[in-house]
Amino acid sequence: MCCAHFHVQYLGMSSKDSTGWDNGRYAWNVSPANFDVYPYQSAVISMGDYNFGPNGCGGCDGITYLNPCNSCTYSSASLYENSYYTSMSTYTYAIVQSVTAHEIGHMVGLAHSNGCVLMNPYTFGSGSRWGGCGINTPRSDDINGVNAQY
Amino acid sequence: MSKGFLSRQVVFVLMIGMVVLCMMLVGACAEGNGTGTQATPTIVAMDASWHIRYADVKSAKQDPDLNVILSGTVLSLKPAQMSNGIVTTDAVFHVTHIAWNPQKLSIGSTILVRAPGGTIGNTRYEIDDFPMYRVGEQDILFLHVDQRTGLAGTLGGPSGRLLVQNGIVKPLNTEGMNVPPNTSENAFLASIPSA
Repeated sequence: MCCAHFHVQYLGMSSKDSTGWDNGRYAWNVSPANFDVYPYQSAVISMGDYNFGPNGCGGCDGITYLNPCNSCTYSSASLYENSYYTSMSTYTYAIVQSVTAHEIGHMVGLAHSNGCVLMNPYTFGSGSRWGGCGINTPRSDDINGVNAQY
Repeated sequence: MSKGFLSRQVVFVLMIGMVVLCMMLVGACAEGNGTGTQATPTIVAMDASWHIRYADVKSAKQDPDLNVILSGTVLSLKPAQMSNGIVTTDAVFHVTHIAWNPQKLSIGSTILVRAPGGTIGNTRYEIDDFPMYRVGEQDILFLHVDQRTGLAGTLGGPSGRLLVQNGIVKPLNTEGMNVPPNTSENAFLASIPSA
């Protein structure tokens, strides 16, 4: 039985990016991590996409905001894919999932980590999450990080 | 009333004026770049997935979006803005050296470099692994410059921004580009065209 339940609402976005969030959620939901994520109409966590361009967010292909609160991890959160990148044909569905599952990791409180783990900060390039390691699902290090919190 | 008494009154009024002026200046300085210090700011944590890691200059130059590599110093920061769903701050860079510009873009002596994060009101938005630029900071930046607007922004997340400290080039953090220890800025910039 799962320990923490996160409800999210989808904002308007491309079908590819929407499927990306579906796949990212699924990757976590079927893992041994002690949380799950399901859509809910009026959730305070939103998922969407926006074209930030190549340089509008420092070269990000995904970004997450966590709004703080006093006695909880955060009061609301916004997760975006940067559709400048995710709309490219080089970003297959598997790669988009690598981005969305990574952002969901941030949503549940994980920080970046080096090596072949989902929380590796880079999608492409030497030693990167997808380009270097082919990762788009949580690894034991990611899951241990989550289960230490929930 | 004697002339001496009037003079003392004038001096007294001038002194009060100077005290008030100093208090106003101190107050303005305390506010810095609009960040405010009167209340503890609310922190909104931002975390990103970066499109690509530049392991070195050679791999960076293979990114089709990269069109300028330059070094410069932060002169000032513009007020943060929330637009298109993201908080950003534009830093005014004094360009000291353009190391790579294959499209021969028009680059002036200063350039606006946009970065995610910033302070709006009493809320500070910050990305853990891509800290805000600081006035006086020296960087080597791997940029995409928009040819239409002239606005620039780094690519490659932390790997697209190198710090120059005391003439030595350093990665921004542990996620940054590989730079051999004690590489001078001059040597690094000189190596870029042939990389």
